[in-house]
Amino acid sequence: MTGPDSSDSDASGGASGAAGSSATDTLTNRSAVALERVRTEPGPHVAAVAVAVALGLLASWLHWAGLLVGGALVGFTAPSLPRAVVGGLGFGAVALVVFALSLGDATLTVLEMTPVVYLVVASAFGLPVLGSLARGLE
Amino acid sequence: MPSDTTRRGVIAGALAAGIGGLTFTGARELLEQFAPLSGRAWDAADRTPSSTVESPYGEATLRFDADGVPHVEADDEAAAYFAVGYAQAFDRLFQLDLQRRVMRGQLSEVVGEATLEDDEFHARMDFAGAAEATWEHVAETPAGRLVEAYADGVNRVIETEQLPLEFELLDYEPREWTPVDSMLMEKQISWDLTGNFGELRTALVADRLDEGVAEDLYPERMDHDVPILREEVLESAERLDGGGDEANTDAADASGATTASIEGGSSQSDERERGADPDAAVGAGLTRWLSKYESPTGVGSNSWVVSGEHTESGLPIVAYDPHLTLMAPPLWYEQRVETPERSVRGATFPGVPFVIAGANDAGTWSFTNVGADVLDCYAYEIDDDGERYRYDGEWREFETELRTLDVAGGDDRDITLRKTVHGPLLEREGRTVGVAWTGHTATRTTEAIEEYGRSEGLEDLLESTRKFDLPTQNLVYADADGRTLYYATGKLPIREIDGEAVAGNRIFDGSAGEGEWEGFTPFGESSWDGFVPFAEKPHAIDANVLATANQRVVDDPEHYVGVDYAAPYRGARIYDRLDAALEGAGDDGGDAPGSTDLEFHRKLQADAYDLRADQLLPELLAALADADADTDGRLEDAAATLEGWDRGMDRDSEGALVFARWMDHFRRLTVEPQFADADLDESHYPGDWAVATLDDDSDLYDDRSRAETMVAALEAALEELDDEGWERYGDWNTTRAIEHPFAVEAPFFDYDERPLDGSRATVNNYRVASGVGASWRMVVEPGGDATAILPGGNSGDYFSAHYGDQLDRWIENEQKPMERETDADVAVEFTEGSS
Repeated sequence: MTGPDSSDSDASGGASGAAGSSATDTLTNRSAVALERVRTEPGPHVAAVAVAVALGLLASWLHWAGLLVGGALVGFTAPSLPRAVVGGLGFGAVALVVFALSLGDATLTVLEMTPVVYLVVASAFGLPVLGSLARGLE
Repeated sequence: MPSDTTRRGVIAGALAAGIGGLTFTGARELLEQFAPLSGRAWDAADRTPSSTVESPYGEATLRFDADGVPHVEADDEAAAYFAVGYAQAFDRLFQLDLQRRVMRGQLSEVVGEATLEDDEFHARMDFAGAAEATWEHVAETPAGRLVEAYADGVNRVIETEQLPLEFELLDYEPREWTPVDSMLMEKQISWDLTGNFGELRTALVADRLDEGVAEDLYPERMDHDVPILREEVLESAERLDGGGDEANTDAADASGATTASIEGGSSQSDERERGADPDAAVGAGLTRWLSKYESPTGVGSNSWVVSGEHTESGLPIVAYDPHLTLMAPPLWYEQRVETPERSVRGATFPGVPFVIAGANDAGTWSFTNVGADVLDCYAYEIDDDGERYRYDGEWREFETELRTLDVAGGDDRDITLRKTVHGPLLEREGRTVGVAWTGHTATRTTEAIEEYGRSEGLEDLLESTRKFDLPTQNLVYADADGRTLYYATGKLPIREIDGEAVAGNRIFDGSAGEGEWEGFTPFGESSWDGFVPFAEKPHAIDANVLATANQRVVDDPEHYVGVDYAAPYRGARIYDRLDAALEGAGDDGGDAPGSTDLEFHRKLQADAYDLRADQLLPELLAALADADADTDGRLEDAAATLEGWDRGMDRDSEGALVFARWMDHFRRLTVEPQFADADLDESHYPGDWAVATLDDDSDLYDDRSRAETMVAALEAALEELDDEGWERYGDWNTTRAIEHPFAVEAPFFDYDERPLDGSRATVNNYRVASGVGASWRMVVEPGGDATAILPGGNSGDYFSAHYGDQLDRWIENEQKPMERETDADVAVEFTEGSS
């Protein structure tokens, strides 16, 4: 019982592997199409940027590397590398605004925390921009 | 395609370099601290206390008034002190932890090798051992339960509340707070006020300078006639039964012929060997090391009292401003506690549960430093192996203990603590000295301070003062019944050599048992048998007018008190102003002739008239008149400025700036040549009074006359003003010296820099060089109105609105009411519970 089953399994495994490859290709094509739409069509682009920003902020809340991730995600929605860098800057600005809102009354105090405040601003813009460069790896 | 590949390679390289650089360098730590959103520093940006907290001690409420001062109310004292611990820890937890780390020698554990030398000193002095001995005693008193409740309140914050910013930056959590830690705070305060190795410094200076010069520069007694207990006070005030007449006694004869001994040792001093060389303890390295841990330069205070005869309300008035290290947050913490047993408001040091200086419904109390000598140094004959010392005719092993000093980011260091019968043994560069300090034993000051808060008048407070074992302070008190009190607190040792009372400002031969303190048991419980009896200590009951400014206590004390007194500039000025006001002279005083009100006393606290100018300006102007005319006329201009100056050290004054800088240069030019030859640095420079009263024919003026030195000093001062661009006194005299412990690494913790009035010699006291000044100001009519102000804010939380909200008012001495009530909402409700 074991042998035939095993053999069948191998055969079906090979068949499903071929089918999987095909499916993967299909998926890749669909992803490419979707990414293209996200980068070129206004509606999908806005939605994708919103999701990227939300995910990026969530990641940024957990770890500073989230700012890199946020910049990279926003960058991937951009049609070109320069636009990705602009997107990274935009994400940094959003992160700063959210940060200020999260601080509430302490925001003014933080603004007086020189030179720490320079680091805050520099990392808010610098890390997402660095992440957005990943767009150029495509 | 090749260009795409190159582009991708460049970008990949940039990404790798950027991410690697951020991850594997110091940038990572900075980002973990300060990155927006995730930085751990921001966790501390929104600290609010829990609205409800369970307390094992029962119900209490905590309110914060408009100045961030906590008001605690409870029906049970322990419940109240649990809330006090909670409030102090919420506002000042880092300060609490930092102070105990300093005193335990555990600072390097969190900040690294930079503080290892400091840790070594504090570990070798074993302040923690003295605190443990003290707690063993205090635990058995009524104060003990309150201290335990306080510690539990502190620990509730450590366990349940967001830690302040400093902990996030250093990335550590404080250990549990213990009652011993609170006792350690008592030791710290006392050490800051009485820790003095003056005899070592004096011996070093005497060794290196001509004898006459050393005597001129470091006189044992300053020639002035304004001691605290001046003639008028001695004539009018009452004294306790059993106390002698301080105006008519001989210091040495009156101390009695007791035989010195240390418990556990022998009292047969004539059988002791005299083998130790006091010079063995004299060394620049040892002295320099120990000097780092003495009282900061300029530590002192003002306090005065006038009886109801001289006030508009008919109640006495006490004014108080202690001159201690100014810092962010301030050294003091203001609090109010209301229970059926006490209604008290005032200032304490974070870590100490009870109000140290303040007022209750019956009276008000304050402390200034006496400058008493309660630390002695002993030299020993030590064997070649350094393991035994000669004492009582035999070789004794040192009492030793191995201690490990933990070092963050470095190698831990093991040290061996050594003690003799007198106390800790300190060593540096082959020099060794034994130390006896009255704080190195179980002391009852915590009991006294706890009792002060619920005292019901002068007699009550006087009884509690008997337990005030240390530090030696000028206690100034007044009650709502119109009575006043001055008492020198703290135990005063009597030293004897061969049965003769001697002063303590010398290095004693420890091997011969010289100068030992009878009834003193280091790191145990002392009987204090051989110390000055309470009734024989300087005091004055129901004095009409009395002022303390760290000047000599009394001209002819019944017993030796000490020699480390402040110059009389402040004391004389206060007495002058009080005398003038009470005589109804000038514009001073209240509306009624010869009377004063609270506002008068607040103005007197802000008095910036500098008596050094009275003492020196005529001489300087005469020297300038006799000097050759300078080419550009700058000296003439400066002389005109000084001549037209009102001698007030005011921030907008040009004359004050010229005088202040001239004074420093004059002192330097007077002593520098001989001091440089003797390898004595600036830390050994004499005080202003010694320089101001030097004779023209002093050896110090052999090469350049005193008049020429004065002129040269003015030239140096004017050159400095040009170089620095200072035009007004406040350009130089600023708050820049008021720093947070992280001032270098995180300067944002410091308050904004502001120009200030006052100098080291004025009543409005400020030393820009050492950052010492009025660390708390209060003016109180017992049972009536009261006001106070802090140099900063009551909260140590950088993000709090009360971190520095009193600074500007402190600069102007605009004090806020010190009311014993508040209509603020309840911030924290403590409910019965055990969690």
